[in-house]
Amino acid sequence: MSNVPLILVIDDELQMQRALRKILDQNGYRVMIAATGEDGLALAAASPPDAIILDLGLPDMDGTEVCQNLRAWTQTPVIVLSARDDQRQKVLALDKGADDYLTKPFGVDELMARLRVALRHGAQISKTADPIVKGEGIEIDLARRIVTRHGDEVRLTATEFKLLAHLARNADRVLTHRAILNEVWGMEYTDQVEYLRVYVRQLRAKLEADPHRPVVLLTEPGVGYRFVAQ
Amino acid sequence: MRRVINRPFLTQFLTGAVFVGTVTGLLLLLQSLNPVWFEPPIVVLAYLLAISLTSQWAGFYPSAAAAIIAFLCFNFFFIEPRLSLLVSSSIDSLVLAVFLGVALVISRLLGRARRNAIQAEQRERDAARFYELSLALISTRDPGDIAATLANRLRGILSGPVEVTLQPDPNAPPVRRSAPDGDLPLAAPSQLEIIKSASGTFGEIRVWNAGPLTPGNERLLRTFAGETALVLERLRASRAETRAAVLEESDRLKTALLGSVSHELRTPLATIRAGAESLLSGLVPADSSAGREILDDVRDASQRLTRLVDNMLDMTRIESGALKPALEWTDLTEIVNSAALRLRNETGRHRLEIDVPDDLPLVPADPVQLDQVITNLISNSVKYSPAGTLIRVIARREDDARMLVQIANESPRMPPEDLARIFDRFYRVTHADKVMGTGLGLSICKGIVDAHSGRIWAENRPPRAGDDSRGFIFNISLPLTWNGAAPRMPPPE
Repeated sequence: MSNVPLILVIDDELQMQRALRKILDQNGYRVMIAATGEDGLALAAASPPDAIILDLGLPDMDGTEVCQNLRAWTQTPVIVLSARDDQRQKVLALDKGADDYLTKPFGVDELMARLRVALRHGAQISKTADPIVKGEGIEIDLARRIVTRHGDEVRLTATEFKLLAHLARNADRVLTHRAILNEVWGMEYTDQVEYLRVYVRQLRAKLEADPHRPVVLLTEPGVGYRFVAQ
Repeated sequence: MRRVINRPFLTQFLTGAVFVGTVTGLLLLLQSLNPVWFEPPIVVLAYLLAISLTSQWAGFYPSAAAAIIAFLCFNFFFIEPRLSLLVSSSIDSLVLAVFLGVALVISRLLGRARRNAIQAEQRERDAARFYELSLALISTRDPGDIAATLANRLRGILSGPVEVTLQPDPNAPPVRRSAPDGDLPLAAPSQLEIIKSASGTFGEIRVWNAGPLTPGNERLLRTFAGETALVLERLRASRAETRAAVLEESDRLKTALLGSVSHELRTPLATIRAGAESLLSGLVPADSSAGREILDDVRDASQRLTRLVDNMLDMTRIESGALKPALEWTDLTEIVNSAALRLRNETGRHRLEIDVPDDLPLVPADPVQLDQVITNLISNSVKYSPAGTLIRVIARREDDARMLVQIANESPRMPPEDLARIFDRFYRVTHADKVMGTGLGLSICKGIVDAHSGRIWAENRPPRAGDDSRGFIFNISLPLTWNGAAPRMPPPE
């Protein structure tokens, strides 16, 4: 495998295919393109890509189905592209294993940023993850379970740390409410969004320079939360 | 209830005979007690009284029979020779003949008066029933309720079970109600009345009466059927009218939307096209500063187009009732902060202040839609208030049930008549060309807030000392409970 990451684009719109091919090409990626979910799955199996950009509105199958199908055998990062009114489908795709999402129309910078995060995360799956994660002004030592802000230790409750650690381990990726609740509180709490709201508010009060203008723990309205790493 | 007309015929005749017999007995008693007082006129008057009473009590035929009995008794007991039906003097024959004539005339007149009185009473009762039915039918629009009301009313008047079948909408299955509830006789109904009006048939009434219906009840049945047909006809018409009004309104909306957006769509499209063409022509190199400026314009124009299309889609969704908020417990603080962050370029020339307490309660809301409301109101404030002024977002718990969110700006005060109308579609206070937008933003806000069981309104800020020229507030009141309950809080650690 060459060092140039291979990106699989699964999208049926010709203009989108052309635009993505050009953009990815210029940014130094190799590109494969599939117009249907079935072709996409076949291509992904034939020559495993480093990341997949998946449009949710495919002609032959539901994008979330493609996600689920992929996750049955590979952890390759998946970024889903969705129309604005596909809120539910987008969240569903994320719950089914997609790593991130972009709402059409999106900016090139945004796409590249998301792709870099996805590739970094994909690379980490095979290696041991870095035990230290940094955000604006804070440092989290996942191994020693210590959180510091400008060098001073911040005291967190057990649940607060569990939540922060989970977000930090998935730094720069969006995590859905359901996924976070399942990880931190357990399966029977996946609808208890209010728990999450309360704890995120507490964490922001302890970690953010200005809890009203958070820069580390970002809200993705209607989707979930994102830890912004430095 | 007095139901004179149905008293058995024999009883009626006996009544007459008893009256006449009683009078005869009394007269005989009087005659034996004091023959001096006893004169034929007393006999005549006494019998006429008995006949009048019979007529009043039982009608013409019993009273005519009573008149003949009285005539015979008069002749037998009081006309010479007594205890015989023979008449000796011609004067007495004349008296008897006149008596019979007068008695029959009185019977006839009083009988007719009585019949009229009975009919009037019947009509009055029918009218009352009809009025009651009309009232009962007016209060409902549901065919099932109408059928049940009709069946129950008829059951209260007729002697047998009643079944009503209605089909106001030819494309819907008919509804069937019976009184009393339960199984109906297997036999064919004794009466079948079709419910129909000039515009068509709406159903039928089936009655299993013990005997034939009285003319009055038959008339009532027909009247009830007619009234029901009218009610159903009105219902059908009003439904058609509602549909027509909805279509007309949506047509009007489409026209207005087209008018409003065609200009709004053209401007950014022209920008994009001109930009692309000038770059393609090679006259302006893409990497020159002029080229970058053009590209900036193209990007801004495409963003405007995106917003415009989004707004149009939202408005269509609100109009068609498809805007269903996906409620979840939402932290308004997060919404306000992320909106402020996203709008930081737009609000760059204003001061944006967020005043939200740390312990603000969660609200049940669709975060994406709520975000859109806050974003729209902040954008609107930016558009209409002068650069450098303050825009404040304030949120407070109003009471246990509601939260109040305010977006206050320093735009010019608005005439009171405009305050209520700014949430109407396409309503724009300032001249259309001065500010960009379709005039949809605020009505989308209202659509979303309404869908959240909330309330949105605008007001001028109360004048303050030294500064009474400006100040405008958008208020949003949102419920703090979801299905009547507050959010479940995580267990303390």
